[in-house]
Amino acid sequence: MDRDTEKKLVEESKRDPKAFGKIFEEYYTAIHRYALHRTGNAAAADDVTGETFFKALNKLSGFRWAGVPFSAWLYRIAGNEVINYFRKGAHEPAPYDINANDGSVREPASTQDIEKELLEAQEKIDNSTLYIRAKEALKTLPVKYQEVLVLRFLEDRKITQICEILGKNEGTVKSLISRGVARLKVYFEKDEDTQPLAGDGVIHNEKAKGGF
Amino acid sequence: MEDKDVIKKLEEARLPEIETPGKKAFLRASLLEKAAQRKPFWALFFQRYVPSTVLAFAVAVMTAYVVDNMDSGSKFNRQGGMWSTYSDSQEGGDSVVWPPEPTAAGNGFIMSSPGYGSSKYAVHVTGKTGSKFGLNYNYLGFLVRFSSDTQCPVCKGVDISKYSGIRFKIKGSLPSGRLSFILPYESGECDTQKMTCKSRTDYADFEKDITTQVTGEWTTVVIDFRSGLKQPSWTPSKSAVKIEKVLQNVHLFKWQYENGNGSLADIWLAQVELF
Repeated sequence: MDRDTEKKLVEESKRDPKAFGKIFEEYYTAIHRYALHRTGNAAAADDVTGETFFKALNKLSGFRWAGVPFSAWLYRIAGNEVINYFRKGAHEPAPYDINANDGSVREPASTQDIEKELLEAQEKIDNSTLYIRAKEALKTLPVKYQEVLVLRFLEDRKITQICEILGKNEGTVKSLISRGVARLKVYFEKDEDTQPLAGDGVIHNEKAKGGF
Repeated sequence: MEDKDVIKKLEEARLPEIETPGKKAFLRASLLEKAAQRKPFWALFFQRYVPSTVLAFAVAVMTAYVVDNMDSGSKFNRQGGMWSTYSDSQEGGDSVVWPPEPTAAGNGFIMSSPGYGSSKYAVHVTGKTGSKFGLNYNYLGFLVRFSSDTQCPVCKGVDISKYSGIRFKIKGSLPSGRLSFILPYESGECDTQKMTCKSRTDYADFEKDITTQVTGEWTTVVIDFRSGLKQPSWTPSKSAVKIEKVLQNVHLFKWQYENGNGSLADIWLAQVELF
């Protein structure tokens, strides 16, 4: 989406919050995928994505254009939500029907269907051996490296886009990527000397405060 | 192992397409329901932080409303109202105006640099009035719609009667002729041929001559709606209307330059606010 169209859509949503549905449709897939890559957990990715859009909706009236696309703002919120997710430690997604009768959140059509699709999604993740290995490696790094490496190599974002998302300058981003890659190299070399990773898909929160 | 091998491992680690359509639909419905219940930001602010005893005072102080500060550089203001130019060429005249009118090829209106103060952008309109219609009947101008809903096809007016007036920054060069600020009075009906909302006054709209305030330096023009605007002397009785009626149904603001015999105009405008 070009900047003008994005801007028009955001301004329209400020006037009429119901128009936020268009923003949701435009960016849901990208934010959800980013959350999947960052967490490696289908349920967590859904929660992070949901929180991201709810926060964006609530803060929309305060959003000001400062040369950064709206999508970068969404990524930034999502990144913070990922950090919150890991900070919480034993993250327990709320049951879907918890708010069913308070007038604020609608009950899903079928809780069973959603649980089924989550299990299937998680299975896909767990069967992605290369991702599981990369995730194990990434989770050994501080979150600042995880952010740039996921955005650059798993999300295929350009350096300029990463700068906009993280609010960092180009030199810093390039340096983080370079150092992050160097650290991973050490990890992979050591790993190859020992044994293949199991890749059980479980996120070990004690080891990774702030990511993976 | 080299850096490129690490990068390859990461690139190969990209997940396949993973969708959770049921959860997405649920989330979308929840969001839209929340959105529908959502109050405007200012209402929440007052509700949460401002005791009722000071509410009246706060409202009295916070009455300025930014129509467009041009910060975005967009031809749309924050409410989605579009800036555009116009001229008598639509009626067979030979006046010319830049940026191009919406009917011309290309992207139409663009903002120019530099803006007023720290803003990067301002409205910049140049043009030359023609001579076909005789002295003072040739015209060109520019306008901003209040919001996206105040233009075709919706044409829904906005009530700005709680405001006292309008102020804006202006500079430029007008060797002769007359520049007026105009507050049009339009109906809720869209003229689909001209793609503009129909005039209720046959264009005998409230206006103020601001020619003398346009100099080479930025100047603040302040216009009180009720005391500063008048309908033209040629207004037919059927088009005479009270200013309050107009203020309760505002669609746009116009700046119009009139002169004959090929007079040049160069106008910069910024920081348009209601107060």
